[in-house]
Amino acid sequence: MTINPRDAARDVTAFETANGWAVAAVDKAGNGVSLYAWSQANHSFHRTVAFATGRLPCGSPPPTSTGSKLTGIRWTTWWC
Amino acid sequence: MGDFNGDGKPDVVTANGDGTVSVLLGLTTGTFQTAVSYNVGNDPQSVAVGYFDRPGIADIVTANSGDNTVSVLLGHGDGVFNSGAPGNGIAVRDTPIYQDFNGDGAPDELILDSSGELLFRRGLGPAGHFARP
Repeated sequence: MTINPRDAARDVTAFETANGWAVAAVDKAGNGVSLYAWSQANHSFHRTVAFATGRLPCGSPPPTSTGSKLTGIRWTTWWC
Repeated sequence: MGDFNGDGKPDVVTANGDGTVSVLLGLTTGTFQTAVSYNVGNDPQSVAVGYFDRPGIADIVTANSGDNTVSVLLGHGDGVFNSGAPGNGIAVRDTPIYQDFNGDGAPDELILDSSGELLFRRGLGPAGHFARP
């Protein structure tokens, strides 16, 4: 299945959350990153969060946890 | 990089333009044994290490740009791999990602294709088999 039918991506990485593994994609258009998580109810991915990066990102390595999966993730991005 | 034979020393795998990957097992001297090559798909563009059928036993996957396929080589745990038939029907752009995204215990596959679509293939259990995107 295609998990991002409306938001084409230029780079992707996986990261672990308190609820399991999720996907972070650098959007192809606009200055943003979209996060996708698996929905057990729908048996598909859904876009959970999208946030602006301010500049056009080219890509991102896997984000690192900030101490606990529950407290958040630290993001690194490089720019085109 | 990975530890393919469980000796605690880093080993190396390379994707080669002739449709093979080469595995070089690390030695204590910081050098490597002679490369052993395995056939994969046409023109493997990138290679990744994952764990598909047995925890702690490294397996190898390649994204083959020449024929838009993904190859999975299952590790034995001693530095030797089974040659696997490539998957097909996938427009490969970059290194596939393997994780258990849906929590069913089997690694799933995620590929970013050349159009920017993220293609998800559900893992069908051991041996590196996946549902179609």
